[in-house]
Amino acid sequence: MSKQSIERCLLLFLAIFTVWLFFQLFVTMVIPLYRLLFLGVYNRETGIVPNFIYIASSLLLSVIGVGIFFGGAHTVLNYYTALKLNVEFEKPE
Amino acid sequence: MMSAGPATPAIKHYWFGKAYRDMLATIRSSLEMNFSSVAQYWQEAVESENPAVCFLFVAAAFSVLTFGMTVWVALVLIHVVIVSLVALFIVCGFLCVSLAEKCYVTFQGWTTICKHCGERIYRPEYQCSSCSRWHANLVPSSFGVLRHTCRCGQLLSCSFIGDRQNLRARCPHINCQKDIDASLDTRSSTSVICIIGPPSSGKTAFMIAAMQAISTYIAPRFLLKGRFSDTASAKFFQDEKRYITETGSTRKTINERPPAFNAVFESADGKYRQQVYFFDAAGEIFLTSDKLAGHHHFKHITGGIIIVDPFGLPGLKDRYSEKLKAAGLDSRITQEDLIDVVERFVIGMQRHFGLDPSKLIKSPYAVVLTKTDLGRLNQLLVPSVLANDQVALSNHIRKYVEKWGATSLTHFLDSKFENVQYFAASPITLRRKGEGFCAALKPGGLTMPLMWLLEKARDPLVKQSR
Repeated sequence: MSKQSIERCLLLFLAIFTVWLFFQLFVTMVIPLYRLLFLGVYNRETGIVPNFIYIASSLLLSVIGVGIFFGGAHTVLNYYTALKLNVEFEKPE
Repeated sequence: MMSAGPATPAIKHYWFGKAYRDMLATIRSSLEMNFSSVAQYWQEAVESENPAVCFLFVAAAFSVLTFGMTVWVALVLIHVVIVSLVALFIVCGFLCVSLAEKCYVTFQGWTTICKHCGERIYRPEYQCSSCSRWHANLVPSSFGVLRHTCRCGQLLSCSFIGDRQNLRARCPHINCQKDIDASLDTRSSTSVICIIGPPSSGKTAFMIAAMQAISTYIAPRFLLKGRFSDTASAKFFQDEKRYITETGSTRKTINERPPAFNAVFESADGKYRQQVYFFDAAGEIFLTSDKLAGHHHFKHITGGIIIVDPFGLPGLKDRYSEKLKAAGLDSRITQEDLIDVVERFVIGMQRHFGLDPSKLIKSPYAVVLTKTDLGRLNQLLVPSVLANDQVALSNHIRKYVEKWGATSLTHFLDSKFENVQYFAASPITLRRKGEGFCAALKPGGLTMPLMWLLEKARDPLVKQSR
């Protein structure tokens, strides 16, 4: 598998995650906020504010996790390529 | 002076040089690749018309720049730690093997002395069996723990564990660089015994008989078999022995380089080897102390024998000169005063071989009165009642030496040597044969002084039985 292929796979993974992230944002934050502000629906059991903080922190952790995975995988790939390029054992004449 | 020579023609262990250069190049290269990836994603984000794709590439660039660089720092640290740990592991390996080798060599009492230049060899040079390059540092090091790789690719054992001793070896000293027998010279201990005495005192005859005594009487006691380690020694021994038995005298040592015997005594399994370097310093060498400078064997003397010709002492000279002249033996009596010779020897040792003038010489020196077969001196000097008491016998002989006018000699020996004992022995017994003489070797009488000398020098040859 070439470096370019792996980079494209990582990018695809990032794209899928981004779509999932926006979907989660829409479902868990935008819709409840719309219902609260425009329809007056309020969840008495949990309370809207602690619910939002919980969801936002979860999503932020997801972003960081995926960022580390994407950036880290990219860096590991670059480091591996650099190792292959530069490391060579001295050979007899 | 050790050979400067070119750098060791071996390939240095990867983890001690190139690994660090490769690591730096990898770090630099990977950093450039990371920045290149960021720039590439940013460029694609700028060029993209679709906001979603633009966001994706900005996220990718941001991710590589922030999280990627954090991971890069961690990778660099891991790389440094791995390279350092591997190098440290190898350092521990070669230090352990090197220490084990030094301990083993010390335990065995092995010393290597070049038989050509007489210098002590701590690290012989070995020749690659494939390309003939000389390796000056074929020991466990950063070039390899158990084996070095020659530039030609040949693997060479570099420790006592392997077969390094089977390689061709030479003396590393720049003025010598002559071949040595590594399997023998680096795996045996060496006793260097010098024989000191004025011209015509019978040093060469003594040396022949002493060698015979070690081979015939001493070595078999410790289940060792002896042989000469070079053909020159064997030839000199045979020729001189024949000459002595046929003529009753030795050929004059005229060469400034002292004739020497280099013999090796080894056990049946070959594991125990002891070299004995016995040399007869030509009397003339001591007459001019400057001639001593070239004789490096003096540096490694483990013991010595001072030959006293009793008929050269004033007391006996006066009494026997007429009788010896009548018997045609006057030319065989030394004319040189022994104290002058020993004094020159000590001064030579101080001047040329680093002997501290303020200290006594610690090596054992046996003072041996020879030619005791003449004038029935043997009965006088070795009475049967003292034959088994070595110290009493030594004092008894010393009294006679002083009685015969050599008090200054005994006092001088006391002032310069810490460990001196007196013996009387006749290495050859003269017999009349027609107009001339013939002789028989009597090596048995030399066993006592030689055993004392070897024991006092803690020589491995006699240590083995303890």
